[in-house]
Amino acid sequence: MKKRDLVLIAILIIIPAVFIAARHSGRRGASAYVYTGSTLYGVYDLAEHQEFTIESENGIINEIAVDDDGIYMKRATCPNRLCVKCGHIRNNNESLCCAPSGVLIVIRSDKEGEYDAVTK
Amino acid sequence: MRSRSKLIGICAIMTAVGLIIGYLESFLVIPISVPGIRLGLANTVTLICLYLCGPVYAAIVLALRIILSSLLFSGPVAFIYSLCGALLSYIGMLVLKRFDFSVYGVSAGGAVLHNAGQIAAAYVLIGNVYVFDYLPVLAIAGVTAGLVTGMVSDIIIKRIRRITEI
Repeated sequence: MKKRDLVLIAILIIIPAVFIAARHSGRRGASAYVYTGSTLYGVYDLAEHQEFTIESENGIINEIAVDDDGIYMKRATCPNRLCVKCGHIRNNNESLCCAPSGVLIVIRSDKEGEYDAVTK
Repeated sequence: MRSRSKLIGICAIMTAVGLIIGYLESFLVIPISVPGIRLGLANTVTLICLYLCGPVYAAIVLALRIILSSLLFSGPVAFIYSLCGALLSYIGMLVLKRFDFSVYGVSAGGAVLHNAGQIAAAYVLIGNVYVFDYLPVLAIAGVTAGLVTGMVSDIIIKRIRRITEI
């Protein structure tokens, strides 16, 4: 390994680490914004236990659930089920994505989702 | 002696090996809240070809590997993801190699760009900017994985050079 390799590797670790530290405070979020593709599907309160199902245009079904540990993909009919294996998310700015179906969950701190729903 | 048939032979073996590694690796999923983090061991094949046979052969091996692997195992959606990742990482690796980085740097940079390419593909396919949130995590994962694959490639390149002149 040369000196310039070490410099490159250091840069590629430090810059993303700064980004992660800035975005992820580790504070628990209040609501989960669920998107299908670029459209907002719904906003769900993380304090409330609930389950819902999204069927995408391409026929993939995602079963999403909220419990004490946060929100997670309970079941999915996508080919590799990476989204199910990812487990729970609960803190601000954390996200969970099922790439084949385009379902994306993002955790935010605000309680209500009307503002974004309106601007969409 | 640098014979054409020897290069083609090595490239054929590398394509086959790369296909199998990529397939086996799809069973090894690291379960954290970022989908699809892999070691990217199949990239060793591209690196080895890049160093032993040159950029043209490496491009052919890479293209064959992603086309065959999506035909055999992963399907059309995965093909778009691997194509974007492969394209970006290949260009990046060529540039890094030209600027005299060693296998480690080329591999780490290539891995990060591969992830960036896949995120870009996800953005195009899903259409939601939030997918870029994964980029920092994937960049760090890429560097780590890239160093491992770089080390493996370095060892293999040296060994092949020892047993045959190429």
